[in-house]
Amino acid sequence: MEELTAALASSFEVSNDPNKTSAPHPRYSQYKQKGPKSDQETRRKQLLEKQKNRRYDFMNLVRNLTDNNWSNSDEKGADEDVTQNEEMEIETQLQKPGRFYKDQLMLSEWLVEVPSDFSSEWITVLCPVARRCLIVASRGTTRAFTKSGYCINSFPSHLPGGNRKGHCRDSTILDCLYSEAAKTFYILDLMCWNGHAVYDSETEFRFYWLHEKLQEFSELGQISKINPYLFVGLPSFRCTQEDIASAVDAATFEIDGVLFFHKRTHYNFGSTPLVVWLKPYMLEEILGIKVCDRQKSHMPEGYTNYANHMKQVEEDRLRAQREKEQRLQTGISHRGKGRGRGGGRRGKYHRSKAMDTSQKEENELGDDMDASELGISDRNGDQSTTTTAEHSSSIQNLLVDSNDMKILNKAAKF
Amino acid sequence: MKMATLAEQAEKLLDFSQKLDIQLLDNVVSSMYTSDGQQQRVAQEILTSLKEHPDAWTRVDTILEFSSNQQTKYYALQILENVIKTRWKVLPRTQCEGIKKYIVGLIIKTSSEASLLEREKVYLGKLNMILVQILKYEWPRNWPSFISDIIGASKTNESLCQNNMVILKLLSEEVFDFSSGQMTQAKAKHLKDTMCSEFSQIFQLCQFVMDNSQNAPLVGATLETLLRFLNWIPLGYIFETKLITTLIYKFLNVPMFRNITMKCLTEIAGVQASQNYDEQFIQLFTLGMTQLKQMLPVDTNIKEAYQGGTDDEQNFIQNLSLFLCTFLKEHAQLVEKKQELHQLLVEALQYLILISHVEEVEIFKICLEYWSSLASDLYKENPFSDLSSAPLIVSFPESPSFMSRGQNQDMPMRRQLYNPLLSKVRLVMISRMAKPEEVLVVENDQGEVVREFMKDTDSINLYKNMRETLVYLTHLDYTDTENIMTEKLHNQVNGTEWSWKNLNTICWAIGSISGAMHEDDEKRFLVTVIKDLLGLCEQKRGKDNKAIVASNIMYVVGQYPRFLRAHWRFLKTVVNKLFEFMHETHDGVQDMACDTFIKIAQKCRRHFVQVQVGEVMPFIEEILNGINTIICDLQPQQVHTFYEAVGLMIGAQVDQVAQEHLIERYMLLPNQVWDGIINQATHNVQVLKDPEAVKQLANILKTNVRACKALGHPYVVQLGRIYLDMLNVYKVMSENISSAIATNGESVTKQPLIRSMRTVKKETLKLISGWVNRSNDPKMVAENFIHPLLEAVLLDYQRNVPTAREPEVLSTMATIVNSLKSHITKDIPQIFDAVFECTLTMINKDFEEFPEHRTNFFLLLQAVTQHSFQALLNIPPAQFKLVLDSIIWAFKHTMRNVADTGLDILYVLLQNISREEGTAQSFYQTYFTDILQHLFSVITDSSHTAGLTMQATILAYMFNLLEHGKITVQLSSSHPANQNIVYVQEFLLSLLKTAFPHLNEQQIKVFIQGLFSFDQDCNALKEHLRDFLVQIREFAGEDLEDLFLEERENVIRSAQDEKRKQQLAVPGIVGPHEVPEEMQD
Repeated sequence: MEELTAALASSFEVSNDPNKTSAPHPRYSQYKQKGPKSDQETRRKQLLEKQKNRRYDFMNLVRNLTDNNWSNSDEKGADEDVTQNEEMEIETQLQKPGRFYKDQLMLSEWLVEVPSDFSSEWITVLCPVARRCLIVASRGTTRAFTKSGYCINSFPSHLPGGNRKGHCRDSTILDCLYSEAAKTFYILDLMCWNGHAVYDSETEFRFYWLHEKLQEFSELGQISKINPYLFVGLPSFRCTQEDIASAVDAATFEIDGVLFFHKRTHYNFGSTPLVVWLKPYMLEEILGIKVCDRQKSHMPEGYTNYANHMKQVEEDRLRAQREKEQRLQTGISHRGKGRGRGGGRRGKYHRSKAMDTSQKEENELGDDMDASELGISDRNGDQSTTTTAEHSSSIQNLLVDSNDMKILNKAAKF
Repeated sequence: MKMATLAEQAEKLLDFSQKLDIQLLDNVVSSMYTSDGQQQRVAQEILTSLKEHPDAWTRVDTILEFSSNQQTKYYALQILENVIKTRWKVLPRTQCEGIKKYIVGLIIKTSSEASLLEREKVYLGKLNMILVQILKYEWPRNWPSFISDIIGASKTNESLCQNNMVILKLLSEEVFDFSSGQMTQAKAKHLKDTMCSEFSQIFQLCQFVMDNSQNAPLVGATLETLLRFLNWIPLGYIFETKLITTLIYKFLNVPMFRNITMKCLTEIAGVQASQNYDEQFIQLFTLGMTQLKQMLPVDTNIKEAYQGGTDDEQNFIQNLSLFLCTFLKEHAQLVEKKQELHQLLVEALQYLILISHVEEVEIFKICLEYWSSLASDLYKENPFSDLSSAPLIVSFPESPSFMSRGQNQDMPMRRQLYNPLLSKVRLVMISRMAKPEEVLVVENDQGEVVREFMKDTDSINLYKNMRETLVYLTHLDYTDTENIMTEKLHNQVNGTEWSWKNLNTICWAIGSISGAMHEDDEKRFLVTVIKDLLGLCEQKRGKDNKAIVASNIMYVVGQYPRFLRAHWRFLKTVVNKLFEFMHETHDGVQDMACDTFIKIAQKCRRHFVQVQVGEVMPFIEEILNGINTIICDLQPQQVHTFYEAVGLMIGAQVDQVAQEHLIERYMLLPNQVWDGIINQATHNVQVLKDPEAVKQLANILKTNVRACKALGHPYVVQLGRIYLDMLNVYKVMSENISSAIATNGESVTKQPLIRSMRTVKKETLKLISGWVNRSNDPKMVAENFIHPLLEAVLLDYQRNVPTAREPEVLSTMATIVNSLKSHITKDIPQIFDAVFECTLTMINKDFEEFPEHRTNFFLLLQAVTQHSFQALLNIPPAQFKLVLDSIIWAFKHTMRNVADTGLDILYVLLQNISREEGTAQSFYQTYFTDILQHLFSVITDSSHTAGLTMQATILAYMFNLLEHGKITVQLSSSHPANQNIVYVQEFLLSLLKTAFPHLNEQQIKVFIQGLFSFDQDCNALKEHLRDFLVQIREFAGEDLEDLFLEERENVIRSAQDEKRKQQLAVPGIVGPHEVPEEMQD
């Protein structure tokens, strides 16, 4: 059973990305990753080498994204290309972008091996708790897409191409984090500004360019009729212990994690070891950076550090082993009894009683629940927002009478 | 032909004083068939009005004789058929005789010559049908010698004989197969009796042909006719003659006749006779099988043969499967008893196994039905004996008690016989397992893409039947099932059978037997299966392949909740893996992850709120901690599924305080956004016109709907939090919609923004009715939640333009009444004031407009009648009349669900009112005959036959009220109260006489008499009404004998006697003045 659980946890996957952040950090995972995967450092070198010789028509991609016209794109998207990709598993490939709005973002891996050139060649960005999305501003509207290409929102903005007032050929593509509660897009990276693609520029340049432009377009940081959501650039820092520690302490938002960009990497698609990720509570152990207790509050219960963690894993395993043995023993005695009764031990009516009742309860609970009524989603993506800034008619009706509310809450307690 | 002349000439055709111009008619008919547009329309009109002319039939003979156009002749025959069906009884006898003779003559002329018979097949078919229609009136009374006539004529000429066989076949079908609803019961019985008593002549003819004729078409027609006879003729003809041997020896192996012969044999095999004919059944089986083996060797690859076969050969395979399944289902026991026949039985089963591999689903269903009944029989016969335990027994050789239960002795005889073959049946089930259920993506009325489960009941039923069969088969020998599955899975891993379809099939099969094995065996089996599948996933290249394997792994895992519940660490890993897949962008993986997650949540929910061994907190806490990250890559509808799943888990927390705490954290995210919008809106209401804000609100409400669905009553914590804001948003949305319609007209409702505003309204109502429906404290709900709701929703509904009224308002009110019952009674007047009249004016113009409002309106009425009847009694008489009129309006609908609801309401209303002594009598006085009249208007309308059962039930109830003296007031000023029955009978008589002047009075009187006699037996009453429906289609004429009124009166009288006898048996049921003399002492 333990072996099966381990196999399920470690080797069961649809995409073959090493150290992917949707799975637990390999160091903290209870189960060892299987398979010969080359280390992050080697793959980084290979990728930087490949990047030099890369020929890819980024302007064409920009046209596809901004015009939503994919007729001239590769018939095969990133997905279909993997067969070839995986043939050369050891040798890392540069991935192609997906067809339509899917798989257009650069994704990080877990930071597993701290690079030797960490303080000199890397830049760090703190990420707030928010949803990753792709922003495409073109033809007078700004649209936000999820990683899988689903359009979650469309609205006007002051981004070039993002509203009807600018030139209609302007276009901007950004990599953002969207906080629904704060109505804010935190800009992580820049792929195209005002029609100029910077996919094949290095991180340092992309970040510099982004911040230059954000200063120029200061109205992006103010909510208005034409810019209903804030666009805020995320600051970047040098990768030294002191810089990171002070940045973490000074952060004004709840930190989801810390991204590290290699200075020389271009904007690639899909998961890459040239961008890596850590949760704030991992900083201390992996990079030796002390963080305040607030940042540790999201640490999983029972997490201490790697050594203890491994001890815990070992203990868990031993306990499971013991339990298994115990179960085996009781199982055997149970079997013996069953045999005594003759041939009928396997019949439906001979299940142990405890099992029977528990299952029955579960069934009863499950009966009236129906998985079939799934939710509904809006697809009216191309609407432009028509917020009017009239403040004149404040609504009395909408003001919740606090007394009523209390009564209701009381009622709710019944 | 020119159009003007066409119309002009039509006049001539309709002028019956002139001689018919055949040429002209032919022209009209051909322009009806060959031209198009206006000309065709005119031609059609001419022909229709000619057909409807009462004297049209007098022209038929001329047309048939002189027309050269086949279509014109056909048209003439249609006229004739029509007149026979409806007006035969009112035609002068001489004319009837004339038509009869003419048709008979025509048939004889056309069928006497083989070549003509072949050429004029269609025409002749129509003539035959007309003759049978005539026979239904004339035979046997006016034409007692018909059977002898046709038999006699048959002997003169082979092709004539062939056609006569067809006529006999048609007659048999009309009388025995299709008589229901076409003839009155009395008449059908009379014809059946006559046919049975005269059957020997027919049988002799058939036998003579089968024995002596060399004419293939004649023999074919005879066999076809025989087939129709086999299901009703006296059994002696089948089993005490040489029929079976003749069929098998003479015709089964002739390719031309094998299909029809097989059908005949199947019909015989299906006969359920007492033991008298055991020998004959065994003979049928042995001879049949012996012959079959010569025709089709037992080792034929039937699957391939079927694929490459002709239609005829494919039909043969299907007929063969029907024969074997029918025989084995009915009579296998006879064969099982005889040791020497076991070989043949095994071969028969082998045929069936081979046929089960044929890739035609209809044939497979035939076989499946048999396998299913065999497997369940074998299991139920001895549910506890188990082959798999046998090896264990061997290990205790010294124990005599175990020795005596050795494998062969232990296994019941039948199972020993079937066991070797069952393994092959298992293989069939496993390698063909049907798709369990399918997810579809559809667009709803709001223009949103939603996922729905397919309602393809056919394929779902196939899965259910296969699953059941395989479960029984697994109980019979689980090791064998396991071995086959493991083997099949290995073939996926080693690539010999690898394909997406095959992998799905084997995994569906594995998932289908969940729970059939003993828990330990199941665990061992699953561990191997999952290991194999994980290996397969790792081995396959390409995301497409991996995604398929992954979804199959998750399907299998989701099917075994018992296994998951017993292994927490595994369960946790599965769920974490699902969370990982929720970030996977490959098509369908996120959907799969969400669907599996909710499936697991349903079955293992408690395990997520308990602290498991080796954990520091319940897993639900971890989920809520990371909920942001888990759902960040999901689409809204997937998020909704996710929320429902988590809600199910929280619902399993029994500690109320802990649960409330969980709910609060669970709804934190949606509440943040909700509060944001509401806060903005309090400063500036225009925010609620922003498309994005409206969409977000709809989305949050949908999340709430799912949370409520999962949590049930405890959701109240969250509902209380957003309730008043939500109702205010509802009002604002509604005002926005109204004003948009006021300025821009109704077309504005199609706009995306208005549609999403309506979605917000609809979701609000859905949320409230969903919660009220699940709440468990009606008093608390009524006191705290209803008033703000009514205030926000009702007035708005009433004021709005009809198109902007949400039908869900009505269904929500219905749900509230259904759930809160008497607690809501005091609010009913308010609800009715707001919704009743304004909805009624929307739907009382016709039977179609606003279908949803219509349905929901009557559902509301039903709820009130059922649960808050007191409220109906309290409303003023004028309004009560309106309610009753609406109910009557409801059951006059042809929309089936509305009509059914209407009848249901009426029935409940009648029952409830009878309990209110005072009100009841004045109700009867005012409405009793009124209701009867309206009921009869639907009963006699053939488009309402679907509701006949309920109509009959209500009628029976009303007549019972009368008969039991429950109505003590005078129903009519002309009759005293104790004459109410007489009055109602007279009332009905005059009502029906006016409505159906073509019936005669005696007929109607018998019908009314019957209504009272059958009012204790709803089925009989229903048949009685059905008979009447048949009668109103025909003109009765003066001749009453054919109506079998006397027979009918006898039946009615005996029913009346029977009823009386039952009443007498209960002391006091019959009043003292009605008790017969001799019983009074």
